[in-house]
Amino acid sequence: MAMETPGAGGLQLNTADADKLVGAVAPTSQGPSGGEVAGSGTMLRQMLRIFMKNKLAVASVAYVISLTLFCFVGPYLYHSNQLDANASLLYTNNPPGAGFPLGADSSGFDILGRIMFAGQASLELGFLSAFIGLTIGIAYGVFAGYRGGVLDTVMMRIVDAMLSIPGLFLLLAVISVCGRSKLILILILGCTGWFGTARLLRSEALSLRDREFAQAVRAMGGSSSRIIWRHILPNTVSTMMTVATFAIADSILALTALGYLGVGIPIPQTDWGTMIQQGSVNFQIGYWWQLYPVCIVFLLLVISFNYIGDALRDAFEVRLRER
Amino acid sequence: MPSYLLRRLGQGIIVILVVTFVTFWLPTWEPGNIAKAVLGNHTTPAEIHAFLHDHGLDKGFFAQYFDYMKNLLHGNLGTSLNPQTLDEPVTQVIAPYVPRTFWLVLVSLMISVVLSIVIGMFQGLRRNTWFDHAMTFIVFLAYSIPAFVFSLFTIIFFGLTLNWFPVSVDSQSNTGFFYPLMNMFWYHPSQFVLPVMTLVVLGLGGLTRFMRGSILDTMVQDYIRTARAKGCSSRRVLFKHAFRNALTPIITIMGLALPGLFGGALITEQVFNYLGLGWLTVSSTSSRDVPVVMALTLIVTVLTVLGNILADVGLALSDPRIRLTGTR
Amino acid sequence: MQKGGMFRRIVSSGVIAGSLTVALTAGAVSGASSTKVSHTTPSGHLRAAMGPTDHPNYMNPFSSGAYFTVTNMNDFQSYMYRPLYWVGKGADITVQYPLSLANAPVFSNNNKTVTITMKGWKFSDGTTVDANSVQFFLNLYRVMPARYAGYVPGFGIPDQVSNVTSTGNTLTMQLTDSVNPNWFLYNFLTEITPLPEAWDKISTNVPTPDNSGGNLNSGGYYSPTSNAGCANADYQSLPNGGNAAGYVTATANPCGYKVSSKYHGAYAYIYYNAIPTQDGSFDSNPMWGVVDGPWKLKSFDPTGNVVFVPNSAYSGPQKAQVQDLTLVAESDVATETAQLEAGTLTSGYVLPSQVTPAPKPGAAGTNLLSQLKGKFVVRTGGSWAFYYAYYNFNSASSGTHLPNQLYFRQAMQYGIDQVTIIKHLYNGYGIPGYGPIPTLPANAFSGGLVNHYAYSIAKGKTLLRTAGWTGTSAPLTCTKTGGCGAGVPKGTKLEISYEYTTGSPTQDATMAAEKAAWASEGIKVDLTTDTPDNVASLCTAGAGSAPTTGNPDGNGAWQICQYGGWLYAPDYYPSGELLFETGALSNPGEYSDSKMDSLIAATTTGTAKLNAKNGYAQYAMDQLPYMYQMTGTGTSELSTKLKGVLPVSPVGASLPEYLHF
Repeated sequence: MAMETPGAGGLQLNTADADKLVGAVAPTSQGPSGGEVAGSGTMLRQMLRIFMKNKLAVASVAYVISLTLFCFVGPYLYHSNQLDANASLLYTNNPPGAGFPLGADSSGFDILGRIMFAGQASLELGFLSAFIGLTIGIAYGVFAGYRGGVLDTVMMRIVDAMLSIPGLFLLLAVISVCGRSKLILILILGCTGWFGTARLLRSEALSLRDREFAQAVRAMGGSSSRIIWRHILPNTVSTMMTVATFAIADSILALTALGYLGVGIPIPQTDWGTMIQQGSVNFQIGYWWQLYPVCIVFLLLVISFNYIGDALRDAFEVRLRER
Repeated sequence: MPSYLLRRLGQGIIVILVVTFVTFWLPTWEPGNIAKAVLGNHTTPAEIHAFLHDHGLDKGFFAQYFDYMKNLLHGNLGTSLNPQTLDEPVTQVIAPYVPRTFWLVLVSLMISVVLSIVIGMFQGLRRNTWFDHAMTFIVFLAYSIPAFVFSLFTIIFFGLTLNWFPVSVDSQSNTGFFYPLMNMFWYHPSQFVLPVMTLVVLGLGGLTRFMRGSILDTMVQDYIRTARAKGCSSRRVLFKHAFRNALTPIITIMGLALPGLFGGALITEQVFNYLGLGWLTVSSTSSRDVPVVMALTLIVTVLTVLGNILADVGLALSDPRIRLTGTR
Repeated sequence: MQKGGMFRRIVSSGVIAGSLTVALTAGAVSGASSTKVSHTTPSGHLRAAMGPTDHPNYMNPFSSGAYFTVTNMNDFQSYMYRPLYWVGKGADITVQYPLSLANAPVFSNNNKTVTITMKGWKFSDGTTVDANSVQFFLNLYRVMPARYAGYVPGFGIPDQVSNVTSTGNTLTMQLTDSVNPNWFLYNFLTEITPLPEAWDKISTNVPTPDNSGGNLNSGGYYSPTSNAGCANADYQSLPNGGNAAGYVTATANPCGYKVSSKYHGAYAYIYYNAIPTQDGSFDSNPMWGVVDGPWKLKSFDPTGNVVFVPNSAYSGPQKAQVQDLTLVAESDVATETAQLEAGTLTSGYVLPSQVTPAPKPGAAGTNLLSQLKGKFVVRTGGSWAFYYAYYNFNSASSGTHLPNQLYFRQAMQYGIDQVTIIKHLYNGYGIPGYGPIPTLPANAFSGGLVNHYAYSIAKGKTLLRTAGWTGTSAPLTCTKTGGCGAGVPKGTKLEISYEYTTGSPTQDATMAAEKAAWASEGIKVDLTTDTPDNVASLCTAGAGSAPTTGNPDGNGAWQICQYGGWLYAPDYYPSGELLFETGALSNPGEYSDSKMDSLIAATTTGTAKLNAKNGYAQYAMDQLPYMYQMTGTGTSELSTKLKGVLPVSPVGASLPEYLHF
């Protein structure tokens, strides 16, 4: 069932795209064809070639990279007070002007610098939690797919069940128990974001383990771990890359949604969602500079991720066709 | 077909069982803290112990889970831990919020399905025209924009700048299951324009994309080609054949759209101060009212699973082949 | 006593302090005359927003700490059941005799005898609010003092009352010691609410109440079986429940509760029927329908709205002038603001940032939200309250005796730039607090007091360096041989934890600013946040109790805690026996200073002025037993259609009967 779930909310990439990718992979698991140990390098190159043809996607990648540089290198070039909440007091809600190119927020922090500062948190958290989620998802998926049988069925039913809990509800449920801090949020996002990955990697592993090369290795007495490490995992690199992109985007979106709901990274640190939330309150009394800049930066990032996702999926599907 | 439905139902039950396990297991992480949080000041270990005992938190893990399931089957979701509603049954706390979200989501879903069919069909008919491209782009945007950013923009543009619609919903008064529906269409329709619009647009992205693809797929089917070859006008073909056949999968996708819609509703309710399940979830998360949050998670998941099963049943019933064998 | 600090949730939000009371509180026509305003036919509907997530949950004014809230007392019970002496009207914070049920008390016999003459006003069932009604309350109090949140062991009522006699409208109280009449009037007589004899019932099927005064697990409504005889019981013959017992177990008595048999006194009956989850029929139970205030309860929804209608039999100077008064349950400020904008409320509140800055302390600006302009007027005003954080002088955390060092507390206080924080984060809607006596509202107690710790990072730095702390950035390290004070050995890091309540972005920003200032002095403060109830329970856990496992000195590992402030109501006299006295119940940090104890005694038993030079108040400002913080004055909204409006009451005196359209 290759279908697109209508997305709504910050998490629309989450289950939806896992579905798309699972759908795309499904046919291969039914009819394993090739027997050679895959040249994953070539495949990656092919994917890259197809990806590069999509101009918008390339522009999107450029945006993501420059935004990352902006957030992490920017503060070295553009100095602003983001930590001393006492010294900032005098500038609360300053409109854009001298010393504050984009104005100041309700604590008196410079908005331009704040976007970088918040972006660091959002990006760091996005990457770290995506990494955790990927690790769990890949391990779970490959294990289930490789073992197969009843265990596989049970493990996948669990994943199905978790996927049917609307993402934000699951996140809030965990937060209500665990509370929140940067570390906890990373763990929570990581631990609740791996179900799609697991499902996808499971079908990959399932298709690969029955391939002739894997059977040959097994016949020659190769151990399971050797098959997994040397033969299955290298063949899933391109899948993993695609999934990783989605996972990072998902985490950033989820974090921003949480921030907007008021359960993001607690002050004095901040994230884009929290900034947008505070900006939206003060927007009503005329402080537009607290809302628009951060919204634009974030929205462009979301759109970029979607373009990249689309392009990656295209490249991915071509790869499957050529397999 | 019955066996298919039975299997589907079985799967649904398994899913719900797994979810109950999650909603049961999560809160067991910090029982001591729950006791302390609820009992407040001057809590002695003896009192904590008594509290744990009263709430059955000192039993074995599976015994507790068994109790939990037994209670669930009796419609007992526990009692609230929020000091404001301390010891009130969770069902009683949640009850007023259910119809609000139910109607908001249902109405939005219906509107977005109708709209997506119309847009998708026109796109399918006028493939590769400017209309198609423009709609594709708009739909892409709608699909990309996170719910809270979109709601913010609707508030800023339609609410604060143009001053056309109120930017929040007065949903406090509640007198029965159908009240939110009356509220929406009779008492305060203007208050619902923006939230419903937000949810519709968010749902539209995926639905329209899918509808367009579905129409395009159908148009190349053999029987459509035959109909065309027989000289039927393309509009006639579209409505008579393509539409009906393309409609079938959209029933499924309605079911699949539910988790996203609930997620979207959670954000939308927060933005527009609409006191529904999503709003209650956020508010209970802030006050660490774990039983209520767990119950809400469970309810929303069950609704989602039910929606999916209903969609499957609908699909089975509307499938021409099945229907034909049924009537003859 | 657990009032003020712990349970006044409205106060604890700080920024929208006293939202409801502030919203509703209307002043009188003028002065203290009992002139009636001629609005004979009540008309119009008042719809007042309650505080976010707040709603009343207890009927009986004789309530334990868990129910001793502004929401219950000032904005619910007092509409129906009037206190013996009413304090506050508009900006005035003194006893309002025209609104009181008795004439001014007469102190005699070297201030050891108090004579109270009732005015003979009527309950709505036709019975008289007489001396027996007062004795009913006092008898309950004597039997189970710990069940009433206003109880201070050893002080005032009932511990200093040896006997009470009542005949007709005259009540005489014999005291064991001479008291300061003002202190006794404002801290104890004002807490009394005369109760109708209709409540003097017993029930045989009430389950055992637990001792904590809060959690109840069994439900059900308890119907009266017979008259209890508590109102007419002989005060002296009643057992004194004392501090330890929550209820009387030894003997059957008409006012208490006896566990060993099926005999249940008036107390248990009222106690159970006073909780909505137990009764669920506040609006239909005839017992609660007997009122002596200007309002009667028409409908009560424990999770939603509360509707009052005028009590036509009210004997006081002003009958209610509207058809009904609805207290609207609110979920959060945003939802409530939306209702104001939609025009479905006649009073409510907004965030201080949503109005123009306060022109001066205690004065209100104008609305910035376009839909409120012209329709609502912004109101603000000081509270008869002060805000603070507790230091733990007896922390279980190893090696942390920082709060015990005066220089450390001084350095912390030096780091709080209250004036700037109020201006930039509170939008001007706040009053700086430097001690236990607020500077606004204007009062007779704050004159002559001097604050020595105005914001100065330089002074704080110097203090720390002098004490032996060195380093370049926070946390500094103690490098002085012999340590930096008792219990602070050489090598200690200047680091402390600070727990406060979440919920308000302004509060978060305030704490971040203070943390940064402390860091520039060299103190590393680790902020943690939790819900008000969680913070309160963390910071009071173990206070005053025996040592428990893993908690060697029995007072928790917390170091600094902030979860609210202290509103001097209904103990209006700002003496410090509840807060600063050694072993006081609202002193969870276990501050203990013999000089402080003797200065407090001088103001409660003698007639020493609170603000005397070298008196208790100045000493509390100098010694910093608590860390003083600013008090938000709130920004409430009142419909411009309402008339009969006078200033916001600093003590939360809510008199909606004066409002009319």
